[in-house]
Amino acid sequence: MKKLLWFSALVLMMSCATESSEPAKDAPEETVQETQEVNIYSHRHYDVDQELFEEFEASTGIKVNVVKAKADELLVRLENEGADSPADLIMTSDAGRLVRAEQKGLLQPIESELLNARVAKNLRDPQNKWYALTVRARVFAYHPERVSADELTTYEDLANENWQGRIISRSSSNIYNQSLLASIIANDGAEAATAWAKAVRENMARDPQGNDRAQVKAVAAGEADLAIVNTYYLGKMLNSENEAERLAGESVKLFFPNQDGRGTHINVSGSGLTKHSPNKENAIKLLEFLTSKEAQQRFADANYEYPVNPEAQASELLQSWGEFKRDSLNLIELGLNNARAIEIFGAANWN
Amino acid sequence: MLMLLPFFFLLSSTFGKESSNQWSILDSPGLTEWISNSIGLILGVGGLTCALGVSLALLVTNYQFPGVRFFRWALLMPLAIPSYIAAYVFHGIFEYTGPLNQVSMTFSDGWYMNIMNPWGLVIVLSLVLYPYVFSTTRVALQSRFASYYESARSLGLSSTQRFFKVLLPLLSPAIAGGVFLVMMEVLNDYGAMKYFGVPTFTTAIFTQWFSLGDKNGAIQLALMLFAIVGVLAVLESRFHRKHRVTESHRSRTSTPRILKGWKSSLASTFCGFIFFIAFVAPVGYLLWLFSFAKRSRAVSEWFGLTTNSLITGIAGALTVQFLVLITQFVRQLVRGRFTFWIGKSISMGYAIPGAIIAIGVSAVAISFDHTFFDGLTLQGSILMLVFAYAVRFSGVAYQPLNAEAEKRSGRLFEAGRSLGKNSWALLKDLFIPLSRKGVLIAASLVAIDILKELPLTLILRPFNFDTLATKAFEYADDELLYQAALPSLSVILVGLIPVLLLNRLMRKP
Repeated sequence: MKKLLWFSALVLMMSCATESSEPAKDAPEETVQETQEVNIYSHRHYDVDQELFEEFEASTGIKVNVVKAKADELLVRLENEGADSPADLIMTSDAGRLVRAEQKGLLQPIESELLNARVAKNLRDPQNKWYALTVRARVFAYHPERVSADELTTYEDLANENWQGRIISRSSSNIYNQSLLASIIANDGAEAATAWAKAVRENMARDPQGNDRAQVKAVAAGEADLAIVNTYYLGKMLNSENEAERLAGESVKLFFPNQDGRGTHINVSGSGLTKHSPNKENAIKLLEFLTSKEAQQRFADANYEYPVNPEAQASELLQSWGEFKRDSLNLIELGLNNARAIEIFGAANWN
Repeated sequence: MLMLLPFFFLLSSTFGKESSNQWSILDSPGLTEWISNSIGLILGVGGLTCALGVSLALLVTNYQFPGVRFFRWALLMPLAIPSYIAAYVFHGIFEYTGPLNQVSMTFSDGWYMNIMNPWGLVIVLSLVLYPYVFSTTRVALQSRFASYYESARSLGLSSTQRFFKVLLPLLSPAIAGGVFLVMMEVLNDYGAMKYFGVPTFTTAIFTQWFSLGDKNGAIQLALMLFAIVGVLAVLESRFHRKHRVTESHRSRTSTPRILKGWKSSLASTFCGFIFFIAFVAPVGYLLWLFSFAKRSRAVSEWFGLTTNSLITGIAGALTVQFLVLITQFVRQLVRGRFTFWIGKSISMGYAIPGAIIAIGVSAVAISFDHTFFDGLTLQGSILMLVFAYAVRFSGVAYQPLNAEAEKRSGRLFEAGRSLGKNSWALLKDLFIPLSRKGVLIAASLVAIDILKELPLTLILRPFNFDTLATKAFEYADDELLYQAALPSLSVILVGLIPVLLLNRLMRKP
């Protein structure tokens, strides 16, 4: 008996919780005027994002609601929810998923002069369905004693024999590796990309494993000479709380590949407006806020990402690495070639 | 039936359309690797947990040595550590910038090792999963077989003979039950496998569906996985049938033998060693990380995170209990093939990766919303999340409840009915009181699982809803281990509540 009482009490409790936690969705005519809000499905889960959302809330009175999960899963959720989805924005930490969202017809064009002025053309969707918010570069972290500077040239060069047993990288399930290969497919063609992935896999010092920090540590430890990593993780490592990690970060040097050619591969964090967004105006306001000089500066300083708004400065650390030429490839190519890249990794036995 | 709806939705969406390229997944180049890795891992982890769990259970129940009372409950504690946290913790301990290398560098060149290979994974997973085997074996040892064992001893069988001829056959259903749970956890693990870079069925299902957008391929893989689970389940129930033992009416607990001299120190050292590496070391490492951590939001949000973890844990555990009890009760009333299969099939969710269940459940919720509401009401609510937990974890509750129910056959019910009691009275006066212990054990197990659960919670949660587990995962996923330390420690601490409850329940025969 007691148990039944408990159970009904619980159901009651849960239904209350449900009501309060749920963004009001029924009767849209009323809610638009009453509660101002914007709902985000986000793959980015950094503290700085949450802080910026809170500032946006404080200055505009628009409440920001977030569900955080992996972008792939959020896209499936958005797709299944269809026209009734409460989501206004989808936020990812790479361009590939934004392109996939666009291809699935989940996004709609955004009209904002402000955004167009702030975000360069190759960093946004051709129909302005999504905009990049921050930029990361995929670079080489190498050990200066075991690699001479004239050995370093391009991504393509890593396929050569002189790198035998010297390279490491993380698993191919990671989107940054997928996007790198997608850019190679777009630039050099699928056949060359397949040969490249196979050769690089054979040149690896160990099976792909761990995250980007783990690759840098392995180079520091002498397990390999060169790691393919994101600038953003290296920045975090150099500012780590743990001295041993800082030392490991300091023992490697950074190289921007392909500077004499197309430029270094970049990827972005970005956000797109959902097709059935119930709070479209608020969503655009939030994007404009996040690309403002002030917000961009915060991203750059807290997360070691390159800002998209040219008015904002990269963090001191990033500036110390120097200016570099970015691959101007339109980022939609990363999405268009993503499935192909995954297949090629599979064929190259690059887990 | 409600519980099976998500699977129907998934199946109908696969086979309903595009029937032309069915089973295209069989041509996939990675297939043999996924199969061999998955099987290798379940055999490796199964074997190691079996060895650890059984030997530790035997030691702490049948013998007396210094610290034995402590080890009886302490050895259960690693159950509170989620496997993905164990994965990053153990890698962190041994890696180049880890504490071992830092300490040893002060007096030598330093020492570190890379444990990120399938062998390392087997050991890491075994260290956090062996308590399943430990607990089932201990319960069996305590309650049932003492008398058999004593008789064997008085008949003059040597200790080796006693072990292989009497004890092992008597214990095998309990061991098989524990190992089965372990294997399920291994097959469904995603976080640890991905971190260690070992591709298995579950990681392949994720890639296939979420990265390649190939839903068909993913569901075909899930079906294959399901077939493996089916084989395991059949093997497990074979053990039950073959070795079913009628419980002695008055099973008395045997007095543990006192170990002396080197044997006793060896026993203490062994238990202490396992407890140290499986629990003290990971928790110590997390504390060490935490001491470095800059202030993060996990600190200010800690109270809310813990409340959310507790609410979902309790609500999920109660819902699962309620549903499983009802099916068990119906099974007792109407004994037949149909009800048997209904009972069995609700444990299906345990064999299916969380993310797949998440999508199935949300498909059900969305179509429910379209039928009854204007807009989405159930989708994205806590109620749906709890329902998803029920679908996923009913199998965990089914095992202990079924074990209790099988002890009592249907005769009591027939007797009750012949006394003119109606179903409600039977449920209230007979079934619930009799199932009490099973219910509590099952509830603790489910609560532990929900506290550690990731993919369901990540995909289905409502807006602005974080739990300790999701927070720990988010930080760890961003390579922010220092910030992940606090929520990780808290998951473990909160998880200890049901673990210790479980221990209390097992102590009382």
